[in-house]
Amino acid sequence: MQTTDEDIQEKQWHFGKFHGRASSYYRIWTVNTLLTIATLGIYSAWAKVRTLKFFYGTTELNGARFDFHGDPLSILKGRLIAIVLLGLYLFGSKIHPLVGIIGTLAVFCLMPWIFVKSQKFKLGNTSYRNIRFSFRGSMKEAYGIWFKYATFPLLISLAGIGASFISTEDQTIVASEILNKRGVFSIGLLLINGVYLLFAFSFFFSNVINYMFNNIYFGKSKASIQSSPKEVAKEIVFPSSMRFILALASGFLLFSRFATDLDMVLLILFSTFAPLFLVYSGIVRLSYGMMNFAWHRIKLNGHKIQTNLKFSHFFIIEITNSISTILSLGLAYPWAVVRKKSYIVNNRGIELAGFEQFTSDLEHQESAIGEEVSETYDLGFEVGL
Amino acid sequence: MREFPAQYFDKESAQGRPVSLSIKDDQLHIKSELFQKSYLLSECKVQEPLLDTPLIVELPDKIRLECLYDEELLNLLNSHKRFAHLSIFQFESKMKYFIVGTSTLLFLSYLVLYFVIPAASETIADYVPKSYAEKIDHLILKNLDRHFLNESKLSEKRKQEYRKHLKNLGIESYRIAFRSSEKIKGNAFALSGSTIILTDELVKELKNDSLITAIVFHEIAHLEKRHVMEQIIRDSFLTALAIVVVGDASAGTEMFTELSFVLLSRNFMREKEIEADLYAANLLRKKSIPVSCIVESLRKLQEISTKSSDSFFSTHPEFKERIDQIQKTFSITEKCV
Repeated sequence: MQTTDEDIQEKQWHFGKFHGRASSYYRIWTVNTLLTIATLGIYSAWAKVRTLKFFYGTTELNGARFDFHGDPLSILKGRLIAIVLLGLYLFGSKIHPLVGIIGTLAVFCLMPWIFVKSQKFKLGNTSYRNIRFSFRGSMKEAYGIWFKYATFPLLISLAGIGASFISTEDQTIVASEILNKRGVFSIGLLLINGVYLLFAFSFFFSNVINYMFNNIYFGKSKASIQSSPKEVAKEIVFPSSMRFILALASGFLLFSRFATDLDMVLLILFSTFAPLFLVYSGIVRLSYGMMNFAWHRIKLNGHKIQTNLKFSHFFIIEITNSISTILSLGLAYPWAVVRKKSYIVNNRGIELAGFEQFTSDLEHQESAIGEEVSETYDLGFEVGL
Repeated sequence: MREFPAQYFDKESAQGRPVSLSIKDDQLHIKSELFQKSYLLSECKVQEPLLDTPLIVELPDKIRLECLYDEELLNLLNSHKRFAHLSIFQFESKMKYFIVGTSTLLFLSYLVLYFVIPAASETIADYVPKSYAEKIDHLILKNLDRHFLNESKLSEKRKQEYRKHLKNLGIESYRIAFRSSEKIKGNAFALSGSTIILTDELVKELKNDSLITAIVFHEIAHLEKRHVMEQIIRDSFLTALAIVVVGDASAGTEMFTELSFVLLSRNFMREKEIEADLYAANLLRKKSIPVSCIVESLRKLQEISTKSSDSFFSTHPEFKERIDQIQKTFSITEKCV
């Protein structure tokens, strides 16, 4: 019955519409911040839920809005546990260096678990038209990807931590000599990790994106994505790296033979400003690239989703946001966030005939509600809609 | 009786149905082209409203209603509840409430930052056992030695000479650590347990043992009053609070919190320094050392600090103010020998 309805209706693009206003978010954000301080942080869980509810509830798609259902108490519980563990780690690592190493290893081993849990929590508590999303990725697959790509940099980092504990107990050795050797060793390790990151990122990111979005469900309907490391390299790594390399090159100008010329003031200004600007631009390009890359390729039940963003426009929004936030000592933050969200949501759409085809998966919902939807260790995995 | 438009979503399909709502006799009536339903108001769960978002009503059997926000509708739906008007939404949506609420919260936050947290830190600091403090000192000193301090270049004779001077005054329970430093010129530090750090430059500039002792007594004041431990605890509170607040507000508020930290610290430091000065002057008097010694030490330290370019963010308050406070409280008769 429903398929014939769909055949008759034509597919069209439905774009998001953002209804949030800066003035509204200001009030919510002010009340959130002040209540959080006044309650010594306890209210932060409620503040987080309210913020998500605001951004979801102001996002309209085809006449209906999104919603977030997370229970603040679960978030609070998770945060308290996280803070206690963080405190133990920070304090313990000052007492005994081994604690630092054990802590790093523990975090490393827990990363995939925390990631999967927070995805399940966030998506399982997100709904649209009374149908819940869900994340059904397996722990096994998450661990597989993580161990495959992150083990090498971890070992390098551990070597670095280990090296820093070669202490100068023997005072007869000149301290500067040890520092030099240690410094060279650390820089060497950093370079190794950097080069590895450059090459492995494309593979890692492509795997993560595929894993994440191929396991997202809207009710019974599945999202899908297909990406390859080559595409990641071309669309994300290359443009960002170019900017970072240019930043390095322009930074070196300062140390070149031109540095002794009379135009030194201008040169210094250029040589400090240009690299900073380029690095910033590289970072923005990276986050833009990652977001855009995923959203250009996701399909829901075979229907295409698209985000029509232009990097130039996005960059201008980002840089004006950053500058005004810093100059206003943070007070412009709510305005900046609303502005950016608005641009992204208004340019995101899905191509389909109607929403009747989507149904909720009540069996999964029933079984999931108890466990995955109520536990989170909230470490800010903001990979949102 | 007014009717309100809404969208009706059942538990299974994503298709929403346009319906109209009306409230009568403590019941919510839903009317659409295809059906009519009624629910008791007590069965309807009204979500706390939020600016710019629709009004959401959750009904039994997982049914969801999305309505255009309307104050009358909200009041009708909540008519059977008593404290609905005390919601956070009221504070966000009505300017009057918002101003009163925000001002109250600002005041509470001010109290928390300037009174509650410092008072709590002070109390907790008193309960920290000395052995813990000693362990922390050990770590702090190790860290300082790694980055800021070098081995003292004073002769062993000079060091022992001064230590004996202190012992003769009956001061035995503190550890004097001599260090030299290019970064931190003539200065002295108290840690959190019983360690006091003296720099070579300070010892050389002051020369006179009584002058040095005046400074040492000032540092002893910090130790006895547990100022450093208090500061460590207070900073931990503020950092934890900042993580929680910034964790949600993120981005630009980072700079705001950093700045507020610095500003808060400067105020606290000023009071503590004056407190330590007065304690030191008192102790000098008890040990029959002229109070003018601390005044003269401060004057000499002022000379040293004006010689080296000091940064704007130094934590030592105006030397003049401190000297004035001492002279106001104590009668200074003898000269320092």
